Amino acid sequence: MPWDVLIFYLIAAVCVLSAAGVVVARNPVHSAIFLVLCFVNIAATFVMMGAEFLAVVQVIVYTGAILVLVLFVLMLVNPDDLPEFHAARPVQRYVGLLLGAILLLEVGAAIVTRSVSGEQGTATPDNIAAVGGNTQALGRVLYSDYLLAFEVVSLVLLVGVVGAIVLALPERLGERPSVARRGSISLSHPRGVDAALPEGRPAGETLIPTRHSTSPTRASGAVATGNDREVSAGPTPTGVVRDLVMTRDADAFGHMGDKR
Amino acid sequence: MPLDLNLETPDLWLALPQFIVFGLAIALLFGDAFVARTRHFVWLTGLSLVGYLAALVALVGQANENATTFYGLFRADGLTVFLSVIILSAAVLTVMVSASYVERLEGRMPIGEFYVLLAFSVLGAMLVAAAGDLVMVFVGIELSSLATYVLAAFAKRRLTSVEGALKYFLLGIFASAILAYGMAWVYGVTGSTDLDAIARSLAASVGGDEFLDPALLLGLLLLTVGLGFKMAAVPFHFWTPDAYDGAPTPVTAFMSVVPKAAAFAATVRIFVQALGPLRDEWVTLLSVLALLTMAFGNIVAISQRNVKRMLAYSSIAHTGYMLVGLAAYQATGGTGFGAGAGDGDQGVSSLLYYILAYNFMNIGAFAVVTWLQHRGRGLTLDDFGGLATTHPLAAAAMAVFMVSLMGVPPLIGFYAKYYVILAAIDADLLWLAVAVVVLSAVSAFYYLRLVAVMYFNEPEGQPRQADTRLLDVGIAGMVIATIALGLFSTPIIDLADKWESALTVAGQVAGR
Repeated sequence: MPWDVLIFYLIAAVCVLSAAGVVVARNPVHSAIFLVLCFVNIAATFVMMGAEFLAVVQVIVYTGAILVLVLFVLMLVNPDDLPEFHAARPVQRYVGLLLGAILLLEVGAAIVTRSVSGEQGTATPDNIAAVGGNTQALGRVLYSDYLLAFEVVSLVLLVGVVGAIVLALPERLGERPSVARRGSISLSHPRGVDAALPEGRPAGETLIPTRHSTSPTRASGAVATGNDREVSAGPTPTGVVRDLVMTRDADAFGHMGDKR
Repeated sequence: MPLDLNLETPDLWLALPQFIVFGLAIALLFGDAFVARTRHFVWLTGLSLVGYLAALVALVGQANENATTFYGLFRADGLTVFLSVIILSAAVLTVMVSASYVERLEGRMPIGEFYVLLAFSVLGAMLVAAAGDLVMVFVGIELSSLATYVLAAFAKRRLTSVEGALKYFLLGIFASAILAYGMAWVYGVTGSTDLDAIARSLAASVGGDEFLDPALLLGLLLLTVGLGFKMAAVPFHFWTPDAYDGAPTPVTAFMSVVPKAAAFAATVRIFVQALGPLRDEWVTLLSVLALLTMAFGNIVAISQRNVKRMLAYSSIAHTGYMLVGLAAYQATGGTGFGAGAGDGDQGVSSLLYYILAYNFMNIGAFAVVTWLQHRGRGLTLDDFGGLATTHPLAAAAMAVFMVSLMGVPPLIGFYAKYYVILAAIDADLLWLAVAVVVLSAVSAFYYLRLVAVMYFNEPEGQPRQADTRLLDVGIAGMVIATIALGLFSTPIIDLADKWESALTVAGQVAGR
């Protein structure tokens, strides 16, 4: 067996095992570190295929930037606030395993029996060598043939920035949600995050009272946070806790707001 | 020479409507930053409406265009024009429905960012409609989806909004990954991402009765799953009720039309234009999906007491009707219903007409729900009780939309179903045509129940006064469109028939 095949199988085995580790590990930090290992091995396979630019991008962007970010977030978030990852019902687990096995079989069959092959593309080794290498070839294609797609991807990033600002920016400086948003996202919860709501309340809008919201209008359930961005004069004190409207039932919110 | 720099300038005029929407989005960003907050409502709403209408006018100039630019990534043809008209009119209607809601309800959401995200989502959907390459399809869907995820979470104080958006986001990116994987397989088998080149390659290699290559079949299945998620077809619909229920109502109206139109645009581009030679395989797949989707959506909608959830399941059912149109695709020349049409394909024309019809009646239904929320009503069936007594015009509008969604002549919803059924019968899918009729009869139960509640129950409580002029105009416009576009459906179906120009290359090469 030639050396490169042996090395490929070694890298591939480590890659598959570390990918399995991402899923199996109970500690999210361990998952992230397994993911680093997986990505580095993928970068190694890229190098073996002669795509050295992709390999470097893989290391810089995925391992360097994204996974460090993931680790940062994991360090900042209280582990107790993380949703329970292994809470799925047995049925879901078995159906998931079954579907995964079917997909694996299909992929295997597709690889083993591959017969249809279209016209060869222009990115042959000779052509790549003619323009000076992988990076140059990729750059030429990216800024000519796929120029429009490249520009639209930059719009996707812009939308990501705008969306992050919209969702994360508090309406006033220094305020923060008064209730930790906990609970797991599960398809078996048909509506609402019941875990975060106090038990025994009637269905409908429930205003969680906070230290700073003692005015009678707020206590009566009205949402007075509507247009006080203009009303509040001067700098708002830091550490103000914002009221979070908790509705058990989306139907109920029709009665709120519109208090000009 | 291969890999040479391709330096000829693209024909930017072909993409004029898309550039106008892009310019609108950037102008809205600057307007949000530099216009005083108190003037946002008037200025940015006006700017959005003018921008979308200008793009619509620019589209008129392209009605007979059939060209490719940006080195094959962008197509300006009949399909692009028709879908862009649907998407832009949905955008105009969404602006009219959402303006006062975003400004006043749910703790006053930031209206500038709302319009910016709306414009980007519209732009993404238009780019999918105009895509000539798998890469563009994917990137356009991502642009459209990402903006819609944020819009779904826009009422961020309400946990149901955040939860619905999170489910939408997680399942949506999962579906995107599956879609990309399917595209990778198709690229691997055919050696190109260009839709026409894929069709050419498949026409050369696929044929006869031999067993279909598993790699191609796998790509086809993965693409179906990915696109099924985006269009909310059963069994990939799990995010739909929660996301539709949680999102602010105008966003739900938008979500039920524009991402769906984008998903169907992608499906027509990929399946009909690129994978046309595999028609026999995907038609079977889509007809099963269509039956499941129609049956599930209609039956589950019956048990819903929350009007928004009911409309969410109804939108799943309507996805099923649209899929019937696509499943009725016949790979023969001379498409359409209009004058000069042969005995060829009617499926895609009927699908396009259905999306247009669905646009007006569904946004209309959500618009009336929004209208009532302004007046202090909730979202359950009981909140609609006695609407005919307190607000006779709103009740009449809602009744028109409900009856149209049900498919009663002479409203637009009837003609949409009529064309879909004609196409299905023509494609020898009689069982699907029967299913459409039977399940429309089932849907009558929950649509008419709402009408009955509005007209026969007693109103409870005092309605609040609210000034929603733009919304009133929008609802009136949609009522007129629902009635008029049904009565004068011939020119529209003629326009829809022009989608065939998208097939000029693929159709000739496939030799069908």
